[in-house]
Amino acid sequence: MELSRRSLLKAAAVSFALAAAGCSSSKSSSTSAKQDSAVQPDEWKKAVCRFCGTGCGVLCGVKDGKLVATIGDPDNGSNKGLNCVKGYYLGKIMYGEDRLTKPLIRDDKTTKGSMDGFREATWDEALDLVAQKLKEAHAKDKSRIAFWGSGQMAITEGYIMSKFWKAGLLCNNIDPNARLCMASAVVAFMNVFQTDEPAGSYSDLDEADVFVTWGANMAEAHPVLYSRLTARKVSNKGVRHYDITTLRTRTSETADKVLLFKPQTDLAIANAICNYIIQNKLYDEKFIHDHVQFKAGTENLSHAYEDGYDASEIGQKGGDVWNIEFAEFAKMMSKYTLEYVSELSGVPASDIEELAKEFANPNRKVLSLWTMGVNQHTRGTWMNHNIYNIHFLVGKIAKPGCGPFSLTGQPSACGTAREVGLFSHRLPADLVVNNPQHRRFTEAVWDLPEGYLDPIETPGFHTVKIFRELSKGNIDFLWTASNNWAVSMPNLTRFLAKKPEYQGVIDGFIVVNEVYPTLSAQYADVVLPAAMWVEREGQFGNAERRTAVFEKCVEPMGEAKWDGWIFVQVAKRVLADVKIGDKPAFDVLFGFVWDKEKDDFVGDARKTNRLLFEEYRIFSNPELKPAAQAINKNTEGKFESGLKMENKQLAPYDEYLSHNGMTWPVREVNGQWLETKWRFSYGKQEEGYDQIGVETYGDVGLANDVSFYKSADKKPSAVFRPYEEPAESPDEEYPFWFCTGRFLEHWHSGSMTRRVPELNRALPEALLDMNREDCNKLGIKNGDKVKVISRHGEFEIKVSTAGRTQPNPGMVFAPFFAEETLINLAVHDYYCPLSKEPDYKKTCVRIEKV
Amino acid sequence: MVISSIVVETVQDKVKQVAEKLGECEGVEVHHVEGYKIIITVEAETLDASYDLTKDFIQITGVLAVNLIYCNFEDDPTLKNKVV
Repeated sequence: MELSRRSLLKAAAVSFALAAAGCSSSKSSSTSAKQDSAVQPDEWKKAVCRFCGTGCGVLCGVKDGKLVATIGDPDNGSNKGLNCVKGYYLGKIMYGEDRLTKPLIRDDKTTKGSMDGFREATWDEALDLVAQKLKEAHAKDKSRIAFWGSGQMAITEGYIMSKFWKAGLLCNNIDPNARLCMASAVVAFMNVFQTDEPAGSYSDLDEADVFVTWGANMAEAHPVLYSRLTARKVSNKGVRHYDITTLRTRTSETADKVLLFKPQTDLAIANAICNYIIQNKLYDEKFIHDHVQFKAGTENLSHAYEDGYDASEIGQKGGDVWNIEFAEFAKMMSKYTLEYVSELSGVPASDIEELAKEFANPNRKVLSLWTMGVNQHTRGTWMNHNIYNIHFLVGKIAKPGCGPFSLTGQPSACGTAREVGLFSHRLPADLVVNNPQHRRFTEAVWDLPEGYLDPIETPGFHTVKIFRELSKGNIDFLWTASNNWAVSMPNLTRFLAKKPEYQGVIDGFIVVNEVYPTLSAQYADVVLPAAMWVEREGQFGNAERRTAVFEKCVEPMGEAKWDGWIFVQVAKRVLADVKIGDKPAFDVLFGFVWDKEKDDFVGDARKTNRLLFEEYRIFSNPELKPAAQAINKNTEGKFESGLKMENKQLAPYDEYLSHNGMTWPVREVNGQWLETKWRFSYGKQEEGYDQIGVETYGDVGLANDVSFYKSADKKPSAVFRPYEEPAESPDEEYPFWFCTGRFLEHWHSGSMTRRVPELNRALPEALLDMNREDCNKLGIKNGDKVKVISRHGEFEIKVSTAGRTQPNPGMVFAPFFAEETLINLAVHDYYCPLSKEPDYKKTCVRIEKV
Repeated sequence: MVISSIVVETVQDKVKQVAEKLGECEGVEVHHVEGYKIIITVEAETLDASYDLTKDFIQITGVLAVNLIYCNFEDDPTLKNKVV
């Protein structure tokens, strides 16, 4: 490398870093560094990181059609120019040596479980076969087909599939892998606020005085956000961080206080904080009066041990709630004294009291953050409720630095899985299938005859149900995309046909859109090679309601194709003879983006995505379509009230490109589109407050200048939820709690990050973290191989006593990224009765030295 | 040669020691220290080598976070045949 080029590159590198760090000595702007044509790429394209749920903005440097550089996007509000170490390899994840580049067909089902039985096929042959099998299964019984999507699909991809499955096939057996990570948060959002969204944003990280992490190892799972948390702490004396966890993690290492609790008792700890605040009259009376309604709900829910749980009496009424007075709520909470909960949870009473006082201190801004420890919980929805309850009592929500904030686990869990409605019970934009007005509105947007969607009024199979039914041979056709279910699903001993009575995964016809030969691909009948990350244009929506576009930067590898193209090609074949009214169904649903003569989309990646997004945008901008607006406004008086769909307003597609992502609702003010950082909070729209929403639908002048105008009676619900026993508890036969999770280097099931040699070398194998005391008792040494056995299955793994986590005696931990150490063979699939999200944190196991 | 820049965040009273420690690493140049933040560049032959060098920074006593900002891998010889 020439010295001058090297010097220029270094100068640019330093300039970008100074700007991102906000250093006073940042002399040259990052803009000028980007424009230094001597060494910099031909163009910088906007993108979003492919990993985790943070949704970091990345600028991709493209030169001669190649990706040659990346920068953390300084103008993206989610990460402000920072990336974590996984960002090093964004440019490499597309180029693993075993990248799938041709369609593959398996002719002999007995070869399932390996890549050996596949032969290469043309796209036409593969698409024809997939369409034929889907059509046959659908004609036989549409309850025997299913699609399992992902919070890693782009918004337009999810939109295409949702429309195809729900309107084209009139089937609700469609669910995303977000069911495994976010469903408890979603159900709680709907129960509490009647809208699926957080009130706050990542900006709260820069302003909080007290951070409370509940079951969240942010240092490993959300490193860039954790940087913002530590930055706030380091630069402001008095800022404190409480980590509430079942085992010590890297996040615990930097916390000021760690509240180490016995699994499941987090429910009681939250209630003890509420009770302390109530008993000592530390609550915000005016806030409660203006904003909160109190409720109780069905209790003693038991657990989904049997496949028929959902249809059982308790399964059917588990979500029932009713209004109660504050006094009754307080009485129900009164059981949760510091002493009782300390004994139950193992957390010192003084620590719970200290935290309760932090919550109650009117001069302290408190931010609760949570992820899988709360959501992957047999009472996950309840645990979300219990955190909201605390914040409601003290009025700490929807204000800068204050609030309960659910972090997501995937880059578009919100944008695609939730906002697009890729769930078995949902339609786009918070609409649900079992509400007639919601179906009418959707029909209007999609140009369907009135009543056309009535056949989907009953929700379909949720994720665990899909795989339980598949295992029993009740699903004939399963299609999956952007996930690796054969590694990430729990109870894999059942789902991967390791038991003779559960052979459905072998017998069923399985189609997998994939980029690498993952374990899921090894169980497929057809593998369709998909374009990856910036090989196509797409959009992610992250945890703070931020929608961001990633531009196409390079061509897909080999014959790989955009998922959207694959979905529409199959839809074209399957719907060939189907009519909607007197028109061909395919034309009605996808005619606006498809050129029949070209047999391809009508435009390039930008034009096609813009067309799709603009149709999707009608859901949150109903004035764009009179028929939809009539139902939204209830102009004919057919329904009880209007829908207020514009409350989730999205901006025109190109605005997201020019703004490097924006948090919805995005409002047009004097020709400018302005985002909302603090939902329901009154203040100037241009400063990120929800001025237009509150002025239009809410009430100005209420306590704390907030107005929860989307909630019933404009009051969100504080629902009393008790402590109930976990699905399993340690006993003589299975004496250990087994908790699972992930680490910094590897993203989820490792299908992308394990292709990057250095990331894999940094963390080459999954280890079982154990306490030394337990090891001594069992005669196990560091590095020994053990068998982990549960009631559901078993696997072998090496033990570490110096791992990333430090479990207390009686607890073990392993990450789930390694398919050769398939820990989910032993993890149970018992789920939250309300959200149907499985609990990956509390399987009981025994450990035997191999 | 792959050139990248990183912002290392530290505990306030450890910033000098961390900067010194980082400066001892081959291929690392410390450009600026401000508050609890250290601006460095990393030069290495490949992306893999860059990662190899930086992955252990988090283990240095006092380091709170390692944030990658910029990375130019145009001259990584191992990527020549892979980039389309």
